[in-house]
Amino acid sequence: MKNLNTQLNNLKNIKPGNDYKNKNRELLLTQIYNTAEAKPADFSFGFSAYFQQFSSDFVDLIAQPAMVVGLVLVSILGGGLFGATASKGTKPGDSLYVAKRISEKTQLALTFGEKEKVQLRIGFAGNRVEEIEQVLADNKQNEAETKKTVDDLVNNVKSEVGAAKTGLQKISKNANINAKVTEKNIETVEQASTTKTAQTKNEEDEVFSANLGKENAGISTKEREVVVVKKEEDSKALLTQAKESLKSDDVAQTLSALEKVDEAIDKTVDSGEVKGVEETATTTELKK
Amino acid sequence: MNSGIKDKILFRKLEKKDKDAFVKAYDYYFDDIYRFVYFKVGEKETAEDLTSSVFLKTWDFILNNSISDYKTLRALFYKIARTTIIDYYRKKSTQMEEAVDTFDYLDIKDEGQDLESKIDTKMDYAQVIEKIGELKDEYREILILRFVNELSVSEIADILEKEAGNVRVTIHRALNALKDLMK
Repeated sequence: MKNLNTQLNNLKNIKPGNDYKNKNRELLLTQIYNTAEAKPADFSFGFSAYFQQFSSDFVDLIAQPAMVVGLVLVSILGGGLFGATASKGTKPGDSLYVAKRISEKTQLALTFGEKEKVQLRIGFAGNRVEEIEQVLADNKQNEAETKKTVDDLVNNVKSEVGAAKTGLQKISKNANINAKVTEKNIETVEQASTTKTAQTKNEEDEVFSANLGKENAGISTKEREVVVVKKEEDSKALLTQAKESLKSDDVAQTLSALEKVDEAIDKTVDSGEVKGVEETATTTELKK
Repeated sequence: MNSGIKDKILFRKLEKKDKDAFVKAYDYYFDDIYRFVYFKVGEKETAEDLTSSVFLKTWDFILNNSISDYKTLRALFYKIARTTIIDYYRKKSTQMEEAVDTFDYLDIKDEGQDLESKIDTKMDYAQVIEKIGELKDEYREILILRFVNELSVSEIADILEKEAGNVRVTIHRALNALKDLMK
């Protein structure tokens, strides 16, 4: 049957003679140019004629469904890529900041695998920490606004770190590597960190109260900012450490680093509040 | 360029009665339409006359009608070719007596073959042409459309105004009939 198909296909070689074809072409050309209305722009030349021809061909070409789908995809992906790059160094309040957050969300949605997601979340937490630094360094907003922005960012860091921790727990469960021991470790780490955070808070509250009692005894604004920035740097270093630990599949180490980030960020909030808004302490405490 | 895309571009231009597009369509489809007509009528001269007539009729049709109802330009050419042949037979009122008058058009290009196998191949082609001429018109038409001019089943269904399943069955039967004739 296959041979028969080939033999049939070879009948393609049957073609009209060239003489006849060419003569007929000329005849047809004469007929159609005589019967049809004259084309108004037949003799036009130059840029406009070229552009007209090009645009009509181009429109015809892009009118194809495949081309339309292709162009839409290119503009979405290209636009996304451009947007993501342009919005990279933005901070809250900037016009492209929304694009940055959307691109992060998209990245997360398009990432499969718990480990990769945890890595992304740690990275995003790092971004928020950087933004806190930028917001504090940039004194364009008034204090109340700055505080609100920083609070939002801190909450975001916490939620990212929380999600990363949940992811890590999932990884350790799935990997089934000393599952029980790891969980116990997590509990111990969590308990330890909670106690430590509580202790740190108490100590800081004491210092804070003590400072309030003295005139000019509180840390000057600049100094406070230095403290905050320093703590942000601590958080950043800890996040990097968590990332490194995750790379070497050390779940317990990553978790412990993340716990430290939590602590560091708590301290940041407390130090930030020395800026003079007393109620914030209570609010932040309540949020926890 | 993909033949489907080329067809669509030409089709769009012809919807606007573009003469240059029709000349391009002539260059693009002339051989296929000629071959289709040739196997339907079995005579070189008649095939030439009818093919010329098909292109003039198509241009006339495009000028005076909207072609938007047709799926492809190729389908439009084949449909007009079929009606032209039907009209020709109505006028002539005789059926094709001789299958194919000659196979001199066959161009066997494989120079590496020895003379004996060349003759064998030519004999094979001659046999296919002869036997295809003995098939009933419906079978011959569908084999040419599918295996020589390489139209898809859905395109053939559109041209013949039949269901795709029906077309597949006819193709299968036509191939078996040709196979039986060649035994």
